Amino acid sequence: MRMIAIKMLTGSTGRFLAIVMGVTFASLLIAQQASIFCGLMRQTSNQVRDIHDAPIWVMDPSVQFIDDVKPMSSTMVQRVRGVSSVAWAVPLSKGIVRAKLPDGRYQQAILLGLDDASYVGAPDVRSLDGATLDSLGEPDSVWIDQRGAKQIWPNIDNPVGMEISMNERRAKIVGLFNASQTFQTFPVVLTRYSRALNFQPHERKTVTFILAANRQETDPEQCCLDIQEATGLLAKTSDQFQWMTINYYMTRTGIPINFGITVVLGFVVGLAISGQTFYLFTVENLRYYATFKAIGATDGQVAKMVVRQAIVVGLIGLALGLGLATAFGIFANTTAKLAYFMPWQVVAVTCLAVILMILLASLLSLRKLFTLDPADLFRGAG
Amino acid sequence: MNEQISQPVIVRCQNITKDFEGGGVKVRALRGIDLEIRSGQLTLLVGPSGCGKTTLLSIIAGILAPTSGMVETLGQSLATLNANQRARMRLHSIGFVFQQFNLVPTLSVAENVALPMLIAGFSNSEALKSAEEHLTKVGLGEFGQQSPSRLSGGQQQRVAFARALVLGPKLIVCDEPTSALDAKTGHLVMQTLRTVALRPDRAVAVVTHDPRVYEFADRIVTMEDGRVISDTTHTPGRPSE
Repeated sequence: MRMIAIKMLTGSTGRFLAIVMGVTFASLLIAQQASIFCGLMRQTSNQVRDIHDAPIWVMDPSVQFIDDVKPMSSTMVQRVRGVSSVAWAVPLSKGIVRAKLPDGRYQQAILLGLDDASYVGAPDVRSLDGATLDSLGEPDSVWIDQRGAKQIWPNIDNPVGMEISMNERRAKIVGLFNASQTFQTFPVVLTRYSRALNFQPHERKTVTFILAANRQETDPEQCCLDIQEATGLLAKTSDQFQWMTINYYMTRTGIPINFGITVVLGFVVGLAISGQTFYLFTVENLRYYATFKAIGATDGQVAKMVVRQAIVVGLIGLALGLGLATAFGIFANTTAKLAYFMPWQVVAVTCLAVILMILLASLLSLRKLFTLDPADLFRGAG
Repeated sequence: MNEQISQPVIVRCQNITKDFEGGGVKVRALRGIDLEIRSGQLTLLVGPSGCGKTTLLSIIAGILAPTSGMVETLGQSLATLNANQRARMRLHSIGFVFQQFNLVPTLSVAENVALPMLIAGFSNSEALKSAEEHLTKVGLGEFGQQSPSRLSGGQQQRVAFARALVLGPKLIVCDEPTSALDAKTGHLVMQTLRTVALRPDRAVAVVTHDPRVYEFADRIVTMEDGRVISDTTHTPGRPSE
């Protein structure tokens, strides 16, 4: 009966393609929109994720997310270092600066000031010209992220050696590094902590974050609790701070609702197309299903045929939709540089949506089949 | 007449009535039918439109339940069977031939014939092999891989015969098997039905209003207004009265 079910389905080429296209479209839209949403949410916390060498972030208790900068007194670094479960702690300065470019244009940028001695907090540094972070020892030196540099100077391949000014102070670009795109999309400029203070308007409190590590005998979560208890500051593990940032955008912005609406629309439109076409396909074949029932097929056997058909179109449509969404993701990440991240959860949600879609589509058809009376086949007037 | 009575009874109907309700109006389609259909005979159910012959055939075949009365097919009272048991009984004991053939156009001719075997759980290869054999019996051995839509009406009806016969049922029910065919093709189809389907241990019941097929009957049951008004034996090959 499996062979019969599949042949009946694929034999009606137009209907078959329409149903598959409906499922494909729905799964593409669901996976693609959900992946863009995940990409955007990931972007919000990329700056936390980019810093691999500090497992603990310490901040003002009122901070809600990575870009919510609340400076602290530099003495706080000493207080954190004084917590017994802390192995080390260094300051990190983070702020938005206005850079003046050589051609007179202005460009806002994210300025990161790394601990002068350790450079802890540097993102994935991969110099394009062989320079190391030690080059930040040169006077007025800064590094700039490659993506940001391309954004400022689209026609210049290597801006190393160029000079910009921030807060009326000269800054010389001595290296390029890779930084993940931030939610604000500003270029990221990297320099020493002490120099970063000069590139920003003077403030009494200068430390934005304190990056720290726990001692081996204490786990990071416990260390965070120790820091909070001892200093009154907010301490989070890197993972906790990423989720804190993501949760802020999830709960305080309309982004999830907007994307959620699109995902739901994708599901509804997909269900409408595939469900209706599948239902019409069943209705067109009612005479044959009635024949099967008259010959001796049970309701269960006929239902199995319909469910098999739904599974086949569901699987093909899902594979095509996810394939197209993946292809879109590759294009988005390489060529278009769009926010796009497809974790396994997106694939799982898309699968569940398609299962629900084909289930609903089948139910409509099955309802029709179960009420089908094979006696109707004998249409003779007698 | 004695010879007829000596044949085993395949279907026994006792005092069958059937009411249909629609729009608050009750219509009595069958009014106390008593009928026995015996093996080795081609029985025609004839009568004017609306006389109840198709309703009777549906009840005999177990796809419609009577309002009252008793139907026994192959010694089994249909009223005692649930829906699945009736389906199994139809599958193994009754072959169906429909007015419009009802061949699935997206399946090959052989696959259409194999359908009852596939429903019964036979493997594809077993079912298709048997289907090819039955197609050969009805003279369509070389058409197994073709689409039914490429066959003539007469050929399609012969495919339907092969499908009805493939599981070797004891009863074949045919609903107006010639009404969609021209006279010559209808004649050939009825000849095939008699030759291939009729066996001493099998009964064939045909509903028709086509007098041209009467000559193939062993027995002609005439109905009118939900009742049997005559039940006559007939010698096949001779024109009926």
